[in-house]
Formats: sequence, structure tokens, C-alpha cells
Amino acid sequence: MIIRPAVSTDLDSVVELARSAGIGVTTLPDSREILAERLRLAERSFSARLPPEKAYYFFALESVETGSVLGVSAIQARVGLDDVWYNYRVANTVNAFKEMGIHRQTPTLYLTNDMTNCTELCTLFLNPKARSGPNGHLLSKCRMLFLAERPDLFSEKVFAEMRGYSDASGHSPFWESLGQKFFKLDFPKADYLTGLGNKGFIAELMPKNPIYLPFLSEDAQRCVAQVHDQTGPALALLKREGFNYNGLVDIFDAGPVIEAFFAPDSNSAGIG
Amino acid sequence: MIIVRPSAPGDLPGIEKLINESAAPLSTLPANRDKLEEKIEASRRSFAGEADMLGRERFLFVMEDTVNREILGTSGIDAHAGNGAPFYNYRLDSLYHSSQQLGVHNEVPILYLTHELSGRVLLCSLSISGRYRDTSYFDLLSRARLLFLRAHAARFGERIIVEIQGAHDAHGSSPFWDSLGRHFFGMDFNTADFYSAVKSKTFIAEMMPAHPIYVPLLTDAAQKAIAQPHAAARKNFDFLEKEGMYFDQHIDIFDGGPTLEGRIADLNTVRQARVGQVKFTEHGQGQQKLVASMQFEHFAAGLCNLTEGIGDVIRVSRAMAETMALREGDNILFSPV
Repeated sequence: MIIRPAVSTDLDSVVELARSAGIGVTTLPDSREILAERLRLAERSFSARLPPEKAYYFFALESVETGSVLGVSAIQARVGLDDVWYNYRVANTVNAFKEMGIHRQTPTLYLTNDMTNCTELCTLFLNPKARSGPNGHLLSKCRMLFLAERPDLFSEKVFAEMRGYSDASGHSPFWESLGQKFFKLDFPKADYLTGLGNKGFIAELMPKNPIYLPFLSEDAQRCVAQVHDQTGPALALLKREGFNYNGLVDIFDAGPVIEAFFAPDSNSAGIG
Repeated sequence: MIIVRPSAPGDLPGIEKLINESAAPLSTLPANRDKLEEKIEASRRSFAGEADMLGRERFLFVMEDTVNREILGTSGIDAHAGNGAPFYNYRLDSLYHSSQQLGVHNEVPILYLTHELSGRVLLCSLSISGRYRDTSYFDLLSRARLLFLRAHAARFGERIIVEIQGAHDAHGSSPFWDSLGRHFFGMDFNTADFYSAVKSKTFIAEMMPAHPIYVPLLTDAAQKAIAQPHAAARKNFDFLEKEGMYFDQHIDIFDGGPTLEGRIADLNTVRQARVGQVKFTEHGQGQQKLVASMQFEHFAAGLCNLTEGIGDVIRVSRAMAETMALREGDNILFSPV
């Protein structure tokens, strides 16, 4: 197995992977056109034909024996510079009134653009048949080595949005209790549109004012910062690398944002 | 005879008895002796024109059967809603969530906490004995206030509001409160309402969440309760709508009940009121009218049969005139029933 930059001739394998990924891997949409564009973008990024802040580094895991692509992962050099990057911050509202014996803490979601200009680890997907052994680790960690080699290309803060909880049929209780009330789309459709690059447009239809969490269903409240069942291993791996939940969640499925400050050599110039 | 007059300290037991029999508890008239006593005292001092009540006058009227001295009802006016403190409501507004690219335009109802109605003239504290609810004395009790406002217009602002108690479910709880306020107080509506009456509504209101509330996130039952009057308040709601008040976009922050608004000069009772000069008659003949003296501290109103004489002269039965402390030659206001 080797990791190498993904190239345009990988399109058929990548489309195949996307088809098997299912709902919730937002950055790997099941669209040939979009994926072809991603591969072109990756080629121009690796050959430094793009300004660093626009770069998208797309990696392929290739079986040396068969030559087939078994998995992908990527680094988005900067987010939120072309469009607007949204997250909810899970904050706390307290109201207290001693005389009445009241002291209430109310989790409250604030819409933020806090991750703007940060580097994102994204698009991790591994063919289910290749999930045994170290392949997953290789796909994920190769990105850390790339970051270490070229810190000048990335922000000091690196993050990943983990896929949020949805049930076996793809329904997200968080989306159904919040997003769907404002936007008459089911989660799979909203997620698909997001993957096509419409996330900013969809976010425009979402509520801009803070949301008091008790207004959502109990199922939805339980989803906040919970990862999808299949995302447990990926989360564990990144946590071991030093990533931590930063209090932000995805605005659609409430999956957690985890972040780390990446500084291989704190004296080195060019980290910014 | 039955008249409406300013409440007096001696009315306390009678008012207490009335409240304890009332179907819909009124938050502005608490079943709490100390608060009630305070309210009657504030009213006495407001009618007496004491200087420190300026800007926060609260007038409480009682309807009394003058024969057996029974208190049959109460009604009130706060000259400035909030009585000098902020007076909170939710304003029901709309946001458009719209995306040109996706061709989607959604209207989203939203509630903003506001105190923009602070300082309006506020009708409040309406409570009537069950035996008189469906008689013309309901009209007397409620409309006497409007003639008081007409007689002393210079003392009051031009715009008037009234908060109508909101809808409750079969278990006596408020679906609006259960979906909204309860999350922030952890107590049922009646407990919160009790504190509101005892502590001051402003005080409790300031503990409500500061951010606007998206209506689609409330329960269906709560959404339906928005601007719906309580069954026991329906009559008052209909009555005030007929007077010319209207629901615009304000609701109560606790139970979602509608706030009606209007201009005093536009209300039917006020528009149709005419001034006449009293002359006594020994006969109670003529058409029944709503009649009010133009006194301030010794205001009185009643229903009586009038005959119009020459010029401004109005003939009032001596018995009724004496009950209302009217003298011959006094000016009175009268309005059709």
C-alpha cells in the first residue's frame, strides 16, 4: 500500500468509493462532476499552480499489487475564504434567582464563523473491504506528515468535522428537530446539496439567532457533539494525535469539531 | 343600586371574597392580602393626586351594590404600563429566510422580547362576580373606566393596551409556558404567575431568555396558543374588540395571551360620549345610558334612564344622582348602552 496524490485518472475509482460512502460523508459527494473537479483542483494544488490558501490536497491509498484506489483523504488548506464557513458554538446561558431557588443552565447554540481561515482535515474514506490492518491509520496520518513537511502552506490550527449521529436509515434527529423546521428538505438531500458546495447557500436559510437547546427534541439534544457509530475509530485516532473537541458542532448534524494546534517546530518561521 | 367608584381601604374583604370566587385568576389582582392592600393604597393615593405617584398612577375601581355594600367586581387602569419600570411583551414578527441561488423563500415567525409598550395606558384587574358576568353590569364595570379616561383625558396618554389572559389546556396549564418559560424557570405556570404577582412582572420578565424565539421550535400546542384568549377571558376579549381595540402583534411572555391595542379617542364608548348638565327628576324614565360623573377623586358611574331636556340638560332620577353624589348643575358624561 502506498499513499500518493490523487490524480484525474483516479476518477472512476473515486466515484466508486463515493457511491459506497453513503450519507454523512459530506465532503465525498456521489457526483462524478464534482469529484472530477476535486481531482483537477488537487493536481493544481500539488503542482503549486494555486495560491496556497486555495489549495486542496487530495490523497489516494493505492494497492501496489492491483493498482486500485482503496481509500482517500484530504487537506483543505483554508476554509471559509471563498464562501462562509458556519458552525454552532455550544455555549451556556445561566439564569439565576436565589429567592425562588432558581439556577438554570441552558445550553445554547450560537452560529459562528470561528473556523474561517483554518486548515481542515477532510474526505477520509476507506473501502470497507480494506478496513482491516493499518490502512485507516495510514490514510489519516499521512496528512500529519504532509503538514509537518510544509507548515508554511497551512494554518497553525488544524481541525476536522466528525460525522454526526444519524440512524440506520440516514435520519439525523438533530436535523429533523432544527434544520428541517426552517428548510423543507430531509437530511440526506441537504447533506448531498452541501457536498455539492451549496453549504453556504443552505446556511443562509438556517436560523441566525441563538438556539436554546431545550427547544429541540430530546433525541436531538443527545446528538449534540456525538459522532456517527462508524466514526468512532477515526475520532479515537485523531484524539490520540492530540485533537480535542473545541466546543463547535456541525450546523446540520451536530457532529463535533475537533482541533489541534500544529507546530512541529515552534521556532520555525512560516507557521501562521 | 349598582355603581362603579374608586376602591377604598374598606373594600379589602369584599375584593378578597370576589377573587376567591373568580374563575380566571388575574395576575394583576393577586389573591394575596398584603399585595392587595398595597394595590388599594396605591389607588387611593393616585386618586388623591399625591405627588410621588406621578408617572405611576394605578387606579382601581370597584362595582358595588350600594344597598348591601357587596363588591360585585373590580376594574383598573394603570396610567403607564409598567408603572415606571419596563413593561415586557413578545412581539410576533416575521423573518424571511431566503436563498436566491436555491430559489427558496421561507417566512419564519419569531418572537422578540420587547418593552416598547411601556408607558401606554393599561386596562387591567377586571374581575366580576359570576352572577353579573352576563348582564349589562359587565359593560358598566369595563366601560366606566373608559368614561373616566374621557373625563380626564389631559392626565392620560392617547394610546391604550390591555393584556388578555392566554389559553390554558384541560389540565389548567399553559401550553405556551410549558414550551417556553418553563425551560428557564423549571416551574409550572401557576407558580411562576404567583411569583410574578408577588415580585412584580418586570422582575420575572427580566429572567426570560434575551434572544428571540423561533416559533417553529415551540411545540404545536404552544404555537396554537399564541394570541389565543383563555376561555374565561373570551368575553372580555370580544367586548374590547367591539369597543375598537385590536390585536396587532404583541403577546404575553408567559402564557402567549393577546395584547389588544387602541387609541382612547377611537373607542366606541369614548367617541359616543356626550356631556350633559344634571337636572333631577323624580321619575326614572327614558333610555338606559351609561352615565359617569366628571369628578376625579369622587368619580362614579352607573346605568340609568335619562331623558334629554332643553339644551344640554339631562334629567337623572334623584335617587341615582344622589348615589353617585351628583348635584344639580353638575356636568356628566353619558354614552349609549
